[in-house]
Amino acid sequence: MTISKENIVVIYREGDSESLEFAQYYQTAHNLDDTQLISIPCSSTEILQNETIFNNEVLNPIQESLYSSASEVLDRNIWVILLGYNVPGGFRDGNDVISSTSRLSRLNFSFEKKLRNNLYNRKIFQRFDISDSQQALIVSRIDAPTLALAKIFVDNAVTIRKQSLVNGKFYFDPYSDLTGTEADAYEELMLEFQEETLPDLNLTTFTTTFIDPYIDSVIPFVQQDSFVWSWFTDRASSSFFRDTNTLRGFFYNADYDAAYTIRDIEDTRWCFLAMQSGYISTAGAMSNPTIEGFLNLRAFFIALLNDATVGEGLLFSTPYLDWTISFFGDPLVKLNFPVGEPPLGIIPIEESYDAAMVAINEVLTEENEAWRLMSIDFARSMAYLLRKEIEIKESRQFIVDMTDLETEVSLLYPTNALVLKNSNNQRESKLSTLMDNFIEYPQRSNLYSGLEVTDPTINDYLSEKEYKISKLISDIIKIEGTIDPIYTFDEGYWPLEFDLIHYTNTFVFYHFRLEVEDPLDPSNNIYVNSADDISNWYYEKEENKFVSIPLTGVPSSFAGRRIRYESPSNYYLTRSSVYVFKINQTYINESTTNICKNRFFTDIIWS
Amino acid sequence: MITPDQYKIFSDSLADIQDGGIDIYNSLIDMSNELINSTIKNNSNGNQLYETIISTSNLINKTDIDVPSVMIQVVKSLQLLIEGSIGPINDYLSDNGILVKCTFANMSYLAGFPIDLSNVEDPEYCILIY
Repeated sequence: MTISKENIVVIYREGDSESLEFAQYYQTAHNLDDTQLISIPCSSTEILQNETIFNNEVLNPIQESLYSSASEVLDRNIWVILLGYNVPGGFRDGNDVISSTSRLSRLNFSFEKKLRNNLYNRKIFQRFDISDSQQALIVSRIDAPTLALAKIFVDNAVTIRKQSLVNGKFYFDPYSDLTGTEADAYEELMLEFQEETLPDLNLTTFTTTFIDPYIDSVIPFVQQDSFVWSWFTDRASSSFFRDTNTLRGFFYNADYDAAYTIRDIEDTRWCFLAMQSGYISTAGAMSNPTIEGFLNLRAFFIALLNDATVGEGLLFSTPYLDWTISFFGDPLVKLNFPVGEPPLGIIPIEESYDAAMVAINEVLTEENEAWRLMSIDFARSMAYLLRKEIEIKESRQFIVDMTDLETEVSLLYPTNALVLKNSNNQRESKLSTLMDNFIEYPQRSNLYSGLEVTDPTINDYLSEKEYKISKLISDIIKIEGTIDPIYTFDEGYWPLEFDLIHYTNTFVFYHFRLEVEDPLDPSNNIYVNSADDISNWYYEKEENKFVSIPLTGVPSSFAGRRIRYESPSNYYLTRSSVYVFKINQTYINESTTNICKNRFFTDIIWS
Repeated sequence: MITPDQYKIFSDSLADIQDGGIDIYNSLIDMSNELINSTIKNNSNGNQLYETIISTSNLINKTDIDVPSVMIQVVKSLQLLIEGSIGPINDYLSDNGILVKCTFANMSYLAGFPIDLSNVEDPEYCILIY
């Protein structure tokens, strides 16, 4: 089940006719039941003085309305809350302004300032569902200086809902004048998005260019636009938004106070200006969210590409909850992009769960990655064949070593025949046809295109893809030099790959403990722990792209992606021997290291 | 004469060698599954590769999962040695407390020397072909 209008409630201010009128206006636009409008006895102050007042006026009454035995929506799955006209937008906590949308996302939990959002930027995308709703709700806000303007915001969303296709220009500004590690990381995130996700949107784009680290490249104005994602020019004027006949979908400028107020008609902060200029959704900070608290644009657009609502996209792209970022606009709206080539790795979303599962099963591994994985399976089959050959020879030696002549005479001849039937030559002849086809495949597949060179050799292919294969494979090829030894693994090398599992309901960073059990001598067991040393540990940061794991560990949002350990030469193992690999994920929570359950993998050394 | 301990070691090793065939076969099946779950399946070169994997798997099935005659001959020689020098194989096994592996029991049957289930290791997990 995915989000629909059945899952939303609209909050309005008790005794405020305009607030009620707004709620009813939204109700009509979405054809909601009367029970989906909920009044709370709050003041009309946009930013309340402290958490206690916020709890008394906003949080507790909403909680009571949704979950008390007298609640009229108790039977509904309420996943989405829209805070309407004149409902408070936040509260002060020291120097910070905590947004109502962020705090109410954690309606059922106590306030934990700047808590990592467990649903943030999951690498394996999934639509918001009932289990997600037990961790965070989707909360948005539509407010304005006047009721008339607030209604226009609803109208804009209705227009988009009817037309849904947003095909205006994407204005993108990945550069700012900020420096430092966090700023660099955010800029890198923007540039990765530009390279990897932006093309999938099939939109024309305007992108600022890098001038100088101390000069903030800016978007001068927007026109015929549907999306803006920029950072750091923190004030503007309405002239920034020029005329357009395109639908305006989402605007975000990452800065420190774009969402401080949305009720001041003369305000020059971005959120108000964007909504006033026809954008149906926007987000911003009510006070400094820190750079690491800025929204993640990749997570947002991957969600939209997967048919998620804007509300889902915003929740999945916000790193922290109980924090300063506020969402504005209709959370139920979906934005559709112009049709082009379907983006690789994006799961087509179907209405029904079953259909979606079928779609998931049809996601195909990319050709080169598949060939690489097949080379490992092939090497494994050879390693098992070699193991068999070794075991047969050991059995013959067992007979030879016997002191009893009668036994030797009886058993040596047939055992020797078994050895001959499983010789190196026999092994190679069983696999040579497959070997030829397997090695030829990437050469044929990339004959005219796909690689930098045409008519490539297998060495060209391995070089460009930075692949290595097992020596067991290359040794079968009779023509010397067919595979350059630099493209083969050292004998005894082994990698271990496994999926990251997320074991808790909170966002955590995982480290990994690996134990390799020597079946013959436990004193030779290998122990490694990424928390002590991240050398040779990698995680799948982007699909099929592995990078070193950070010192802090791998974020739980990478659940479903792969973790890889590659053996250094001092841990090489015996070719064709079988070992048991034990993995424990660990995470630190409140200064305590938690060890997740054991996972065991058995594998043969196939290098 | 071969000792009971030597008999156990040798028969177990023959069973392990035979059981290893399934790992060879399964690795090739993993390889074919990798192919059909990838974009490789969508081109003619991919189809040819797939067919070669399947024919190689079938060959392995024949040579390494089906018990080959040379293996049966080794088992037969071992059992003849016992029956010729000591007596019926089942008596030898029970008298010496030897439990053979299930795979060895099945190979022994193919060699003409059926072994009672009571002389087989982990009989609850053993499916005898006779």
